[in-house]
Amino acid sequence: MKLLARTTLIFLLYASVVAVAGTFVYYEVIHRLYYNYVDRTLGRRKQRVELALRQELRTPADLSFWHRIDHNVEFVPLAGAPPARPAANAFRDRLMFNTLTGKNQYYRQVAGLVGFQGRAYRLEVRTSLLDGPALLGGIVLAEAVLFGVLLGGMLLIQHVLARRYWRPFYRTLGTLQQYQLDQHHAPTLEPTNIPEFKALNAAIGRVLGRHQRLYQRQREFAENAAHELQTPLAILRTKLDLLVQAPGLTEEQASHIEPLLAVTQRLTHLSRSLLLLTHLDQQLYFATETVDLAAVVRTHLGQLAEQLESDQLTLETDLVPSLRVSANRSLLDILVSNLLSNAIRHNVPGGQLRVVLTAHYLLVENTGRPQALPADQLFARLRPRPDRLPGSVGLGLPIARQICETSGFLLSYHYEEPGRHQLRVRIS
Amino acid sequence: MKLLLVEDEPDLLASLVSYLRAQHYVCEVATTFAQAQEKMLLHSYECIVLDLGLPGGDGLDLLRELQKHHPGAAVIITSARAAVGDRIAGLELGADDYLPKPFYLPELSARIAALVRRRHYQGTNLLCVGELRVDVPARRAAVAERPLTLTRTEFDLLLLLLANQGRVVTKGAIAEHLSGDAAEQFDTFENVYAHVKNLKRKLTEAGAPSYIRMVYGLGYRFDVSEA
Repeated sequence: MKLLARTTLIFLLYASVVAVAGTFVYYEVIHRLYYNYVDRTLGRRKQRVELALRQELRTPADLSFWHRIDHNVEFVPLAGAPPARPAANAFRDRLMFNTLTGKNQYYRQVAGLVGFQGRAYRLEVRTSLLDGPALLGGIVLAEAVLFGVLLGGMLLIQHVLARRYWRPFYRTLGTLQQYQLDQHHAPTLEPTNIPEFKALNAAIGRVLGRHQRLYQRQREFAENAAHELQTPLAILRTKLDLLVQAPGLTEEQASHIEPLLAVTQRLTHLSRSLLLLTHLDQQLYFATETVDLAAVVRTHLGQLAEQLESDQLTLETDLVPSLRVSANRSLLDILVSNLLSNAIRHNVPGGQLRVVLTAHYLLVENTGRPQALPADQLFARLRPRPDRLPGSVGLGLPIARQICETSGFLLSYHYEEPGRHQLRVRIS
Repeated sequence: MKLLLVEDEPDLLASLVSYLRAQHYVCEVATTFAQAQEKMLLHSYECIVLDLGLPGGDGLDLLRELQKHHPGAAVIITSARAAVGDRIAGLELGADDYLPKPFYLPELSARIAALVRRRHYQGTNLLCVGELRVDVPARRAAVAERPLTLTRTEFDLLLLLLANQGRVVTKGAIAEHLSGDAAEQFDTFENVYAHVKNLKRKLTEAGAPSYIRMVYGLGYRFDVSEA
């Protein structure tokens, strides 16, 4: 649930509690006010009746006549002497039959003892009461309407708030979600006037900028280091090329030169791999074209035939006749070459190499150690691994993975049967 | 055959000069942008070996200028900048070949030879070494009129050795020449041994003397005079 929706919900829950409690409070207050008003009115009317009793009325027949024309005024004759002085008013509710409506209904009544021509009467003055449940219903209805207005208003305000005031926040969030460290510039965050978001953007901008600079610096370092290596390596290589031409080279001297050649070869490969990786990391533009992946695989298998033979490996292939993919040809060559070489290098003598190409994936499987390799370390750069072979640079698979990322493929490692290691490139 | 070698690294330049002079090329050198510019525009060369990173300017600019004044000059770019973009830019500007550093001298020599041949003989390009006749454009070879049936790889290998006659071509250089970067994936040279063995066998079967000699396991040398 969104933050705004959550706060709104809590607010509405509280508002509904208040509304329900408010209904009863309102009812009670209105009820009291109403009774105060009714009691005061009744008291005054009774005073008027008592005044009329003293000044206007002559006979007991007048008393019953009054009751006949006004049902709400009644003199009930009592036995005994009239009171010496007027008694206190007694208020009460009573249920009575209303001849007009034909229903029993509640009345408020004030009663008091009065004397008339030497006799005692109980004077009752009444008025019909407002219906309690109807009052409650009315209040509930009013509350419901108010609550509805409140709810609608809240939702509307939330919507407007989210659109207007929270927009910088959502923009920042969107930018962060799309942010990748290897993009060329740190993202620009939309300026805002709201202090909290301003502070947030400033903090994020600072962190991103620093990371970007660090990353850039590291990348440039790797690239420059690899570049700087090329010229000394070129000198080393060419000097060795000249050295082996020396007339009268002895076998012993040659045996010293040979490892130098091998090491130079390895260094060259390492620096070239690093360069390629830094280029892939920079996501420099690589021109894509339509390449027949099946043909590429077949070409590389052909080139590796001698290696397969010398390692006594059995090759098993299941390739579609042709598979057109959109990719950079050089990168695709390196990818296929790396995967195949890797499968040959890590194979066991007399083992198998299986290459499957379907419309959806390229699978390279080799026999090897009878336990799964740690998949997370497999693609780590230059990390010493238990299965690393002497003389191997250890950048073949990281490069393969990076090429897959650049080309929109997915490279994954699978270990499904004992001793069979699979690398799968998902193409589509 | 006059070459211009443009390279700012003195040690590397010395190696290039030493190796290519022994291949009977006349080598002129330039170590700065200005020097290279002057020599390129004043003289004409069979082939120019151009390093891109030069003091005083970018080799690509030099190439642009050269194409304006001597369109069609043969240029091989050697560069430590192995970026794909540089390679494409260089080739688009009219360079004929691109050799990323570090390279093997026999490889450079073979590329120069191929370029010079292509420029000079335009289609009728016959290499005659001892009893061996090699028709490069047609990719055919024969020993004393007896045709050799060579695979693509064996033919490439033969061309590499012929371009470096009398010199030791190391196994690494052969491996890289034959299969590009993929060769570096292996620290064994099984395929080099296999190809050289097959080529030697075919030459011998066709009646040629054993031109190809192994040199202490370092590499191979093609020599007519020793045979």
